[in-house]
Amino acid sequence: MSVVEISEVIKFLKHTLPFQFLSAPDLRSMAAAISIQYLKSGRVLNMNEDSVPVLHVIRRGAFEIRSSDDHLVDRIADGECYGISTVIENNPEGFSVVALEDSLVYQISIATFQSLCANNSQFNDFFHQTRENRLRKLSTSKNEVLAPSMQLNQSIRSLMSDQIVHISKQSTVTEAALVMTEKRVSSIVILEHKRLVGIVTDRDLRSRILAQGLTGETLVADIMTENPVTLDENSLTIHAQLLMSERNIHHLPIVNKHLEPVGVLTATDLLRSQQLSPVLMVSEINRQTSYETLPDILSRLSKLINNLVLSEVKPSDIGEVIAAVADSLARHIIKLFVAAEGEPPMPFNLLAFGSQARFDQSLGSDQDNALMLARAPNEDELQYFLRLGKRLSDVLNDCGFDYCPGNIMASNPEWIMTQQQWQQKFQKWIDIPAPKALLNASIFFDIRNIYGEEPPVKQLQKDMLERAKKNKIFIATLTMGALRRRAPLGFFRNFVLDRSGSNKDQLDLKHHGLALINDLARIYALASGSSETATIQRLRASHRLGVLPKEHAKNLEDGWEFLSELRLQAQQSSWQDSGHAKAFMDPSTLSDLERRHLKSTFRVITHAQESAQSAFARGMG
Amino acid sequence: MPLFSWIQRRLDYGRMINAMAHHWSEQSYIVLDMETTGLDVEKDRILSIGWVAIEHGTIALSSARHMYLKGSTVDSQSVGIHLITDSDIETLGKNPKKVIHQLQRLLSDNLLVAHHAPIEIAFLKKIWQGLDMPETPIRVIDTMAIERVLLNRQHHGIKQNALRLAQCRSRYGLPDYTAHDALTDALSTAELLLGQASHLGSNTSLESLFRLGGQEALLTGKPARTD
Repeated sequence: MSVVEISEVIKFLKHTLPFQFLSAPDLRSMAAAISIQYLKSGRVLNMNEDSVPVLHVIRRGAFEIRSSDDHLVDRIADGECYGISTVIENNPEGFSVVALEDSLVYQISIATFQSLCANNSQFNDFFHQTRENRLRKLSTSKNEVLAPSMQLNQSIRSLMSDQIVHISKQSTVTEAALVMTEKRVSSIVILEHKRLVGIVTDRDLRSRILAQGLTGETLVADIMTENPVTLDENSLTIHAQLLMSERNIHHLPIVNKHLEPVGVLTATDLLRSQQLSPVLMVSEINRQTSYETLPDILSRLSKLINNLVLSEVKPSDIGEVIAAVADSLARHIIKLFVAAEGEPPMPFNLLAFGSQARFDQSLGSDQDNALMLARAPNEDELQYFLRLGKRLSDVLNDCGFDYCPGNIMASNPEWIMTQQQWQQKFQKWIDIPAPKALLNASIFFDIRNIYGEEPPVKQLQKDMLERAKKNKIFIATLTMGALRRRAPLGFFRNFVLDRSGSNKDQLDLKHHGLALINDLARIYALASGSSETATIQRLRASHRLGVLPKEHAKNLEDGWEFLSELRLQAQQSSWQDSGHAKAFMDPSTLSDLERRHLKSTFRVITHAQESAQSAFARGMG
Repeated sequence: MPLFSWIQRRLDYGRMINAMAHHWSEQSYIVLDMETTGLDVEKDRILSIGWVAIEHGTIALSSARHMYLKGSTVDSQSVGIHLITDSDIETLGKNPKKVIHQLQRLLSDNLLVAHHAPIEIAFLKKIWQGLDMPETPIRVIDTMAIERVLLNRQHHGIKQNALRLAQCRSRYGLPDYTAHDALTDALSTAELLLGQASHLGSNTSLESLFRLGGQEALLTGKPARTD
């Protein structure tokens, strides 16, 4: 009987490692023997339970592989396999898997798997290699700190209680207290036309009623917190934690896009979900009353990043975590300064540039910051801000964020300017683009407000973006500057020839890889007028705005995440060996698969550079 | 002999009813889709049929069939030569009677599943009559009907196109498919049913699926009565 061609299944397998190694007839007969399974998010599968070993290929979805003692071994998604240990060797490690999303999975029987392995050595090698990689990861995760159960990426919906206990404004506090007691909740929300207008907590009943000597007849409207801080239901745990920690609130109403409450998240919910977290670090920072104790807290950042790397949190998410810690640190230093030296003579902003603005800091990153003042200061006022800037950069340096070698710091009077002066500065860079000057100034185009009211910074950024987008010569000059650095494809050619490891060349992941993608993302963001600063977000926005083709956006994003992961690993081991977080990598430590991946990443960068040149700097090369 | 096979069919039918209280995955299903020349049962014809079976809660691709009907019911020109692949060529030219007999055997102990089942049922009835097939009582599950009930329960109000196969699939995190032949759509529908059943809870019985989107039908070889 002829084999039925199942086109969508074949198409998927043809584009998936290692099935693409199979011949067309093999692929077709393998496809015809597949069983398809649907697993709801949260399903746990013990790989030893199947009576007959089965290889699973993820068609769509995501899984976590865990060892029998619950160590995280790997996180895998579309196109990747689990059950490899089971079909190769009966799963001696006792791996189990958990579905992280609703997933569609192809099952391949051990008989089919074995006959394919016997016929195709590439196919066979791939699975043995994948298995070795997983075992290696498992042993690292066991030797190092215990990988915490990281839930930064978790949606708050899974943590919040979705029971909405509510009451009207006209009720008395006694009625509110009765409802709260009956429903066993520590807060109650006040609704008007389904919209949230207030919240009352246990603590409010204590401090605003009992402690004030008010009676139970007091109306809820009189003591409630009006228009409380809320969070969108699609936010991540990390957002909720930061918000609650910074505002010092313990109850956070969660709303849908129509601003109707759908649940309440409490500090206890969060604590329960997370024993070890960056948020504890942030709240610890916020509790300190002197500068001297801060470095000690920040000394744990390296360990925290290590945990995140081990938990296989995406590098872009790790970047957000580090930024959240660094931002909180800077804000808290300013708070301590204001407490000691008095209120500032005028409103001001602390601006971050470069890696901090891009949410791309790592261990040992330099600080790049500056001040923007509401108006021109007199001599005394300037002295205040110079003292503030000096204190800030000193404490940041003590905490592991090194002084900026180019002296772009709030302690430098050159970088304490009014909004108008900042505007003129950008104007000059954009309208008179001198290649050399622009090369040094490019980090200023990654800009983010760290402290102070948002609108002046938004205004500055808006003005800069409008100006930059219109000026083709500026974009072209920026592009030419970025293209002076090329991906080291040649490096790889040598490396591939000499696999014995005698090649001592090291790869600079930051300057030969990541920086190139950062530069491209900046150019595309400026050309499309996007205010995003994070590289990944810039790539996505440029694609949405129709400036960057989808293929480049996706490939560069993948490449950036991959290089960042390698960089984090390299920095982590260099930090442990020498106390310096160097982003150099010895290519002999890479697996074959990683090496191929790295090579294709460099190719992606080269292609994207070529297409940026023809889009923005045609005829200038 | 006819009496015996009639009894046999009745027994199969009885087994099916007993299965209602059991877990949905204990039942086997035939998920079917047809390509037709249009939606008018009187005028239009079936061009191809694709089906795939769900057994033990998983889709068994070994059961997948994709057949272009040849002969009196189809003229090969309207199929379009570009739609036909190598493997179709071998199965092409299937006598519709053989195909339908194969289907009839499967339907006697499997539930039929389709997305918007009334169309499939109507065309099956027509072909049953045309070929004078033996009477076959069938039970049908309509994934579109299930989805309609589930959406209504969430008080979302059903937007236009929300019940299309692709839209339904996206609610269960299922991938987009670009091909739209009968077999791909049958597979798409089968995956959707797995998604729906899992989301209804781990203890979903056949009965609860049937309550959401089930119906009975009788396929008969006798010409329709005119009242």
